[in-house]
Amino acid sequence: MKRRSLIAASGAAILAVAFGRPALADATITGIKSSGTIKVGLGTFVPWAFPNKDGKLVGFEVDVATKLSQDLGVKLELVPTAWDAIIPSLIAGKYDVIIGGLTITDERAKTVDFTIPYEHSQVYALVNKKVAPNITKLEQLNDPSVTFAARRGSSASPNDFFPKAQVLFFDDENTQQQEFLNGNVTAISVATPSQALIQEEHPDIVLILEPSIQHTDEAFAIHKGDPETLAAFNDWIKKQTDSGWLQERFDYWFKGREWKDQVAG
Amino acid sequence: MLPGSRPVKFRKIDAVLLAGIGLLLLLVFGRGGPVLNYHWKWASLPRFFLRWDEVAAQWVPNLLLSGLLATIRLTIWGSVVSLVGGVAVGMMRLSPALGLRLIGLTFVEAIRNVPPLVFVFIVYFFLSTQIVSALGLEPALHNLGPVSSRLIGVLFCPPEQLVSFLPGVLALGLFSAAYVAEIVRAGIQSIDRGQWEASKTLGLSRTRTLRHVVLPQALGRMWGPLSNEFILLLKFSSLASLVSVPELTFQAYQVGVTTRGMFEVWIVVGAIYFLLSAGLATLFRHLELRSRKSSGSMGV
Repeated sequence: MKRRSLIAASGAAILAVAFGRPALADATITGIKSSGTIKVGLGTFVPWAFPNKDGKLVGFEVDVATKLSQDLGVKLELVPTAWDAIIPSLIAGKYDVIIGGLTITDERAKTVDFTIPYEHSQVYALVNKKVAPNITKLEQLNDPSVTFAARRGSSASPNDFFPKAQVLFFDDENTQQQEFLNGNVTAISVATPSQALIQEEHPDIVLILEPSIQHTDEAFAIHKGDPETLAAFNDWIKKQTDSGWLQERFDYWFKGREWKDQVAG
Repeated sequence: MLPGSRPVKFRKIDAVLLAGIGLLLLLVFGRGGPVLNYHWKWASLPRFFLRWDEVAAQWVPNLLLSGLLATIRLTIWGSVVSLVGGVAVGMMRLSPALGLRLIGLTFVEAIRNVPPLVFVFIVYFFLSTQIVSALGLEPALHNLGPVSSRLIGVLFCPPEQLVSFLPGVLALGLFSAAYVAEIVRAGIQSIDRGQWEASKTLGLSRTRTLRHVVLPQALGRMWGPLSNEFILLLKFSSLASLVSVPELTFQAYQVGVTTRGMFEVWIVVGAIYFLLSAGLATLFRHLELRSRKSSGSMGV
């Protein structure tokens, strides 16, 4: 009898931990200020956020997160995260905010709240000149003989723009671009400034088709239903946009190449 | 004479095979350049193991080495969880109490019939968040003194990474525990019933029989499968990269992004896993032989 009640009690305790929702938390911004630390989730992409030769994270997102933490007067903790897990990890409370070049989409807005945009980018279609020497215009890409390499988890699929083309999905930029450079696919879709970086490295292979196929807005993402935090971040972004600081940092990472010697290899 | 115990003799067919393999390797690597459009960039890799820090004037581990250390810690702690949990569940599976037997069976079957990656996701996103918040781990981590902070850094990982490291350990350990439980159960059940009966006639209790008669014999049979399980755990630890535990695979991905040289990174990381696994296998074989020798001298 004693043993049985012990089993029942421990069973109940396990269930309580598993299914009891944590108490409704305060606004994220309050938690950040009281703990003195802001935890920022980001993915790894050059030059958004990537480890330099010393293994230290650098990039546009890192600059933004650093400035934000300084202005809030708190310590910054960067949490590099696998891109597939970037939104689930926010929801599971592994960090306070995503500052990782996350594009605003309706689909994502169902699970997280976006601030106003703090950066804008374009998506370009690139063609492998050796595989498809006759393709020079965007319209030619809407064809069943065309195969795209796209990155899984990016904001849009090439099929949204070229419904007839075939699309292969890859987990990360490296494998996606390697497949393209190997000549196994006709085209690739990448966001600024990757199109320029790839072309600089492989001018004999890469043709950038103008104009860009999509304009996107990137924003911070936070837990749903937290207006106080959203307002605080929106305020900050507005201030940094008006002062020109965001544009200046954006130009440094996305237009210039002064940071190139920080990349290994 | 047993097959495989024959003395090794190098014959003509072996030379032909070796030459063939060598040629194939040359072909693969030689063609790598023109066919794959790939610039091999080995030179940047060593720096990602160890780098010279100008400010501190000392060598500091970079991403790959710290990832390797994290993988080793993850494997060690995962094995501890797996062993403790596995033995407990294995004993439950053999318990005379039906309730305990059913709990043990449910645990084992639930985990064995789910892919490891799915299990890692469930533990990380669903279970661990609730456990961490229930334990109040995070506020505690912020109020650590320098000594305990260092200690956690050496034993586990930097304190701020503990909230992803612990779920990683828990997921790997529990997953492996289900298999260890079966090894323990099978090991104990493989001991002849007569031994139990004989102990009972001698007036030994169940616990004493287990401790002094059955387990010493069963342990010898459990060594092989157990060591196999820990090597599997080491390899499965790479799955923790998908929930952003900064272990070897995760760091390799980071390095691959920044060097744009993913072939080099994955080849090197593959070699490291190989050395770790093969090293563990040799170690376990050695231990098994020794334990066999010592138990043999005891006449068991």
